[in-house]
Amino acid sequence: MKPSKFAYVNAKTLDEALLSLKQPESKIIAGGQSLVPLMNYRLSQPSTLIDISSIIELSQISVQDHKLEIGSLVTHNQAITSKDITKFLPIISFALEHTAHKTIRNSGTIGGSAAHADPSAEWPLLIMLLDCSINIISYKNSRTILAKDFFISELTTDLKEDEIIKSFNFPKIKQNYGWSFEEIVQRSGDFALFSAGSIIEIDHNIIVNSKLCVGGAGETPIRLSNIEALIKGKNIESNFDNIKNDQFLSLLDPTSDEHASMEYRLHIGPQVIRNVLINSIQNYKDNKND
Amino acid sequence: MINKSEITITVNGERFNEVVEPRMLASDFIREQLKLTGTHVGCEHGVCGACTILVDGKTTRSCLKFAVQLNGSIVETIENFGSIEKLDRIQAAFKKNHALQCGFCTPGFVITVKELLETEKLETDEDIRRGLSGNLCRCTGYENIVKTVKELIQTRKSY
Repeated sequence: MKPSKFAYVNAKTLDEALLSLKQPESKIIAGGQSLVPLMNYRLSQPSTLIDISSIIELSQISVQDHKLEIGSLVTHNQAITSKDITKFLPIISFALEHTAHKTIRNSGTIGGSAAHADPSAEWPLLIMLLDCSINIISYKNSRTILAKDFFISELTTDLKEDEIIKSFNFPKIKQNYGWSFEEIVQRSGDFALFSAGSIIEIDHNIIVNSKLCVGGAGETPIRLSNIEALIKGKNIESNFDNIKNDQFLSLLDPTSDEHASMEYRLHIGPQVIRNVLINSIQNYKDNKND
Repeated sequence: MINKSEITITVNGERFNEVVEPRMLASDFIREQLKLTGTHVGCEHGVCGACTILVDGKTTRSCLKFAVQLNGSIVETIENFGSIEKLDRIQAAFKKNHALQCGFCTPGFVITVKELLETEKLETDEDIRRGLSGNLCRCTGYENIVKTVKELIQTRKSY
């Protein structure tokens, strides 16, 4: 339960961190809440550990015309207490209250959670749900990638060895909308056995657009594009009664692990998804009456 | 090449200049190099909460930080919370309500409770239980710990 030996670099600037990444078997550490357990178990044995936690430019949250840009070092608790995030995308603050425990949320970061890519974690689900794009930088160039191309499979992303996640672009939602997030856990703070989030945009009581995403249901968070297409144009009073369980399940691919069986996940999935759809409509109605 | 790093750190108000190997966990550094053995090491992978300390005023799992990362930080451990002769108010409430038996998890609980009292509303038992959910206790069944926190809420000045 002790990490193997490594050299430590406390990078003060992004350039210094990117240059250090050229060393073989180097690894970035931010909050360390996923990486250090892996190192303690020696499942991860980097030769060089590059600490980016003091690069201040990566811990900013900025509001721009069409988006919120969240720096990769923003901690879960920083996001939960951010007035800007609560104002523009309250689903983020709400969902992150479910991430581990307060102590872990003091250190854990959005960049670390995205790079770790646990398909049942909250940040990956939110990133996929909210059509986020991710700004990535290497020593040679920089690029922006869509969430759907970033998450490849369980614990695997498109991030290359010489790259660092700089920030996340969350588009603002222009239309009036309702939102909901729900997850099933054995104990408060555990990874979700199944989770779902939704955003439903509404105009004159008609669903004009929606985003629906599930976690713990496959190798990455999964957008349920079939359901999104199905409910478009429907009246908000339709209650989604006509959607069959099979339709909710058609894009899911959960596995069994020590916490829950595949059958259990497929059993609770439709109910959780139905709940977030209904609760999103209710959330829209509640806010309208305020 | 494995570098050793010199770190300057303030622990419980005292300044230390120490040389550490990068792989040394903060929990081992505090216990073995500073000889402050009140911070307990349970699971060593961030699950049990026994090693919780305060770093720059915020709770931190010391088994999930490397000592070298604490360079320049202000750290508070359970040793700063009172003495056997004069327990601090959280410790006294734990004792009064039998919120411990073997005591292994207690340093982590006391530090977690301090942060909860200062930062959370804690309006319901569920709020309290959610706040405590990152710390494991194998003796009490949690009932008396929840009772202790409820009592402490009554007498807190502000949060």
